[in-house]
Amino acid sequence: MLIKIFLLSILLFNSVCFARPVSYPEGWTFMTKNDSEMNSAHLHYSPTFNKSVGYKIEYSKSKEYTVHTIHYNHLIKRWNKKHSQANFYTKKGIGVLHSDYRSYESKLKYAGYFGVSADWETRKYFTSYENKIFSAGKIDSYFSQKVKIGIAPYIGNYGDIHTWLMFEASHSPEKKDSITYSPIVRFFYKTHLMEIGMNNNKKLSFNYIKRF
Amino acid sequence: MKQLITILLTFIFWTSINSYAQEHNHDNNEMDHSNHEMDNVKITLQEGSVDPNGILLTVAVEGMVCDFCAQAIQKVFLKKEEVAGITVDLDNQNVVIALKEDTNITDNVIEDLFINAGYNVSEINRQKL
Repeated sequence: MLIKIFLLSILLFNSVCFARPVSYPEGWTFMTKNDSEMNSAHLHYSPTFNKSVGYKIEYSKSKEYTVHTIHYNHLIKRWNKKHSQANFYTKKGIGVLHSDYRSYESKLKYAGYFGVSADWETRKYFTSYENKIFSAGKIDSYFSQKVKIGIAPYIGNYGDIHTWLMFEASHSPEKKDSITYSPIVRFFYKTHLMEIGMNNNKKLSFNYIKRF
Repeated sequence: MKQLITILLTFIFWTSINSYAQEHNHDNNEMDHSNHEMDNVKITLQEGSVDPNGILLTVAVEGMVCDFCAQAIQKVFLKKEEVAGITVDLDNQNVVIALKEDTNITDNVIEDLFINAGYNVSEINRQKL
């Protein structure tokens, strides 16, 4: 298992390596997030620098449902300073949930979510907060929030591989284990971003973002 | 715990390789990039080239903190017909834009392009080559 993780890490680190819900005007972004609870993939297009719209698919491992949504991100406010940037976003999605779970097998349900996120970063430090309220009636409804802080051990220029050491705390009040902590390593290379982490329950997470 | 230690060891290993690779990248970049000697001033661009009879703009920009910012700015400006080449310098927080001969972009347009890309301009300097 350890060797597998090591080899997987080396493989991934060699092929890939940031995370804003909007892109530059007419830019496309693909992102995937994977942890012990959920797998998701999201493709979005930004007509302007402060909006993006796209398709998102999420799969809940424990509740065995898939959610297909039209997802919309809106950068409400950006603060640009000489050596820093801060952002405030809203994120929302609406679509359908398809369940394979027990008595909900093959059921379709309207689903939707709303959340806000904020971040502040320099080339050395990073901090962010995000939350989400999800509702699909009786099948699943939850609230979750995350805080993330990070530091770059060295500062590279454009085109270098950037590395971030991060720490994430997640809070999901509905879950039995409502608070989890994860050390995360983030690699960022040109248009690729990759994060790999492990929470206090020894569950791995992997996120990847590519901009076009 | 063992898995965590493995990840940390992997990280240290990767950081070492990365540092080595970056040193080589810098060396290669200096050779690969479009280099131009003009009046004893060496101009290196990440994308495109310098028109020897064009105008060189140096724009001080606020909010550039990562490679996604640099990529966004490059994409926006390289779509402009007037632009021959561009370099984004995150260390000095500026963007050098080389314009083609007999073309110009006003300061107001430059500022709008940056604002529409999500960034702010604090100063624009022009140099006729």
